[in-house]
Amino acid sequence: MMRRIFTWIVDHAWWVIGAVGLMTIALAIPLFSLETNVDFASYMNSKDPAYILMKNAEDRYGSQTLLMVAVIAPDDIFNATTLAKIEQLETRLAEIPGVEEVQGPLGQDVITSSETALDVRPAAPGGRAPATPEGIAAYRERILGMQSIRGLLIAEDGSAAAILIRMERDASEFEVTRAIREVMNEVGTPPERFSISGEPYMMLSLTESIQRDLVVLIPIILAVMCGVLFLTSRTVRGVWIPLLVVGLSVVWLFGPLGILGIKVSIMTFILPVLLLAIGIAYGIHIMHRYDEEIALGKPRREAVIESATAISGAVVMAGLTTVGGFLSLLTCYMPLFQEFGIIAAIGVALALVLALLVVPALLAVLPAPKLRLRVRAEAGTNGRLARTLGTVVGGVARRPRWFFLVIAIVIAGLAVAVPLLKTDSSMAAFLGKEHPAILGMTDFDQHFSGSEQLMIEIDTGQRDGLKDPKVLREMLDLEAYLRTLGVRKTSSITDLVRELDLRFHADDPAFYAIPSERKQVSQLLALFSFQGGDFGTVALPDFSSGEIAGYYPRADGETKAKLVRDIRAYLGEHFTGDAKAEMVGPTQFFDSMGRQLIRSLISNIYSSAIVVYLIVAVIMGSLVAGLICLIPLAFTLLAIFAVMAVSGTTLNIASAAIASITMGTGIDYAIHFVSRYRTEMRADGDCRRSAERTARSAGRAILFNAAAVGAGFLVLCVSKFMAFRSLGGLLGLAMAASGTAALTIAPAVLVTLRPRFVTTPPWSRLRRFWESRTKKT
Amino acid sequence: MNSIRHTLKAAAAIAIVVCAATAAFAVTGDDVLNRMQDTFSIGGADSGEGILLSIAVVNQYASGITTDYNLAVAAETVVDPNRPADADETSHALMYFVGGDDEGMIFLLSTPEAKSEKSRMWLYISSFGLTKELVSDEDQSGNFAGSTLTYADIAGASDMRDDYSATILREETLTLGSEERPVWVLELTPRAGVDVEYARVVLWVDKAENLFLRLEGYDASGVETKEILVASLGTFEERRIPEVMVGRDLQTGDVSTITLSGMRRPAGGLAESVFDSANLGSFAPGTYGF
Repeated sequence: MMRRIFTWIVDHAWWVIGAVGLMTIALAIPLFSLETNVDFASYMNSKDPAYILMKNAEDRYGSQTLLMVAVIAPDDIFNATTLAKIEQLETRLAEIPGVEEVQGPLGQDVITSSETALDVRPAAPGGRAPATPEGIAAYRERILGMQSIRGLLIAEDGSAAAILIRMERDASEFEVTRAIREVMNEVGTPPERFSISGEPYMMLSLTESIQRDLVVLIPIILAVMCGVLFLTSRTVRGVWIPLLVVGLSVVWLFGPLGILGIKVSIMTFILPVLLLAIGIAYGIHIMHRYDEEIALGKPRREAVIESATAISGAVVMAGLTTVGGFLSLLTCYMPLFQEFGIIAAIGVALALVLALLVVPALLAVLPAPKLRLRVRAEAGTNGRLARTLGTVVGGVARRPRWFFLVIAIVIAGLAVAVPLLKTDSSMAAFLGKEHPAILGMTDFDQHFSGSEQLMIEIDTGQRDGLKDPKVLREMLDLEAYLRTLGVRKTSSITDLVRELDLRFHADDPAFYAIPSERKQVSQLLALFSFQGGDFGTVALPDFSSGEIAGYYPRADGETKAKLVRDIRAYLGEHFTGDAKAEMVGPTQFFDSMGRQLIRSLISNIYSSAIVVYLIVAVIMGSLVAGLICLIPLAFTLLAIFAVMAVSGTTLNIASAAIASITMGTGIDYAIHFVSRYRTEMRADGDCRRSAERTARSAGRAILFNAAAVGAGFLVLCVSKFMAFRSLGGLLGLAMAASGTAALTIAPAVLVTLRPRFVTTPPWSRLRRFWESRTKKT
Repeated sequence: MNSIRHTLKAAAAIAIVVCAATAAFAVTGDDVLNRMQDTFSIGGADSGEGILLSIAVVNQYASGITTDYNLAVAAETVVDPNRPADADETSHALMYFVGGDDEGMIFLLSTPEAKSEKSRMWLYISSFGLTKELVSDEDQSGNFAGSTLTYADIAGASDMRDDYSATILREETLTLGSEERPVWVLELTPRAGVDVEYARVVLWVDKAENLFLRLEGYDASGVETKEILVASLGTFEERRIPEVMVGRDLQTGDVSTITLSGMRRPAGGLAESVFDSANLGSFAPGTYGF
């Protein structure tokens, strides 16, 4: 069957090349319409309670998309030059199309009072920066006396100012954010430092980092792959043919994504790098085998057909296990990984199919290689590396019990470390602390109340329920409790009511309190509305429910998880009456995402193991063979998780997919070893000699393969994203570990267990059983 | 949710609007707009008489939440007899909150017609028994109570003449309930250097009454963002006046409905002391039939 297919390809090589070329051109055009999706919320399972809570809150209170520009002065902002820059920023930012509202320390309305009047005016006279020493001193005293502004628009010590920008609902977030950054860069001259933060900037920054990564990573991986391919083939076409095939598969994969309008996620954007690393092997295998056939003196046509037919089984098996590994991500809880799994599996399948289609077609039309290849082909099993591998594996095969003892000690050590593994689904864990978007958050952590936000919804279930003084006092108690947990500032309707009471009573401090009567609360709130106040998220229009916002400095996943646990425990204990309280904002969302990551990782370890095991078992015709191939991988994953735990590398959105990638690619080395061992055993019958010979023959290829794929993964170490830098290093390590484990653990197990499948042809027992049944009937 | 104050200012303006309406023939779009603006300006017809009416405001938010409040309104325009006939006048509007926790709160607005002078506002909070003057620099662009209408949308139509130039797009008939109303359809474009809410406005102006019956506001990209309809017309002193106005914020989906009812002249007129901020605590709505 395969021979007939390859014969047809060889006989119609130009047609195949032409058709693939035309198809590639057609699919390359939609590449330019590809868009990115960097919205972390869309990566969550939409049925997850945390996701539903957040979305419901957004529906009820509206999006809280804010951008923040910080102005950090060397001493403090209260000098004419710095204040002039702040004024310029406030004015120019407000002029940007798509900006709905700008809140700054100069223009922000503040309420002051006297015996007869309530006065609402900008914090600085006319919203303009004061220029005289007296004016600056008066402004300083006024603004630092505003409790609602301090810590939010002005640092407690006056060292920094913040400008909050709210966009129009339909504004293009990227365009507006770019314009804001442009203004900030123009106005933001030293000695002050200017930084920008907020979700829209985070999204823009992510997108720009993705674009930068694609521009940087692809040339690097191409260079690395060129080097690896040249080292292994020593020919120019040994470099460009495998690269071309994988390049085609990238176009064939991403072109349809553009046509279908599927956006490139934070995971799928690294697929070109992964495909180049993984898919390159298929072309290499066919070309190496072709070289061997040519070295044996076969004519070009026959050599192509023979090599493709002979190697297609192994290549398909390697491809299928990788496809299976990626498809196992479908069992993950998070849609992000499900989508990544499907797209990656299709990409690998395309790389596989194109390798089997294009490589034979190209080889059929290109001149046969020169004679010098024959020398290298024959020297493969007698080189220094092959001899070293033979010695190592021979040693393991002779003393498997000692080897297992060593391995057992190593596993015990690794197993102790694994529980230390932490999760962190935060942006900081993904981007890295030095990323510009995270640096902006750091500024807000240092000078203001904090860049992290938690939201708690208080729902009374009845109209005007929030006007009940009892409910307001419960909210006050909750806010006091939040501050004991490290929340620096809270904001809610209680602040409004108390401040209004204070202002209405001519700043008498005794009235900074919740009034005793519901009617008084109601009328104070009406007063706030009269004064042009916007309730925002602190209350719904009917005052049935509202939100408490808490601000705290950036925290890791574990700290957030504890914060969420403590708050939920408090809410469960204290809000048992008519007023219900629930966490709804980003803190609980990212905490849930962290738990989803763990859930996805665990389910993926099992599912990828099962999928890969089934594929190997079916192809090798033995259930035991499948298990033996999995053992080196289990060791590899254990080692990887232990390394992550010890090195402090957290499990994040990127690294949660490590199990499937390792399973799908790392299994090839064990399969390769076991297949060759089986061939040697059927020829010799002595397990130790067979293991040694297998190491000398297949060991070199396994090491080269692992090195090539590992080198490809390591390219991710220059990514702009810390998570991918970690992932690249871990996958490089995983390839080294799985290659080493395939060459040591697999032979030790094979020699110790002496399974029957290595000497009995696949499915022979089934065939014998079937034949016996037929005879009986 | 934004400022109820705008609602009240708008309501005050509505109360004042009903005091004048004169039909006229117009040739150009600007003429039609001028005539409409004159309809909004305060004539001397009610000076010393005043108006009483009830206003109900219902805000229906896209989220499904509905809020409402009712106001008892007393309004009056005062013309200084010593000033020239075309001089600016001052109008007063007193809004008394009816029902609910806000019962008894009073908002008092004094609006000079001259743009050079600022409105003055007082708020009486019944639960504390205190009155405060509200001093603010706020403009008229904000929404009120989260609704779709701004003061400028409803009452501030008087600004349109200064902010926009108008051309007649067409003449047509607008169906208003069971009525067929001949209208001019105007297209308004902002005058150079003027900061306006809409980049383009399409306005339907009743030919007979010079009242705007429908408004469509568009943003700079040509997207319609706001729609205001006069859903029904009432009659007061043989003039047609807006009775129900519906505003839709097409971006948020929020809808506001303002209904005017019980419009009447107070027997014996409104004493000037009613609009004295020092007397707000003693205002008794029952005295005026509320």
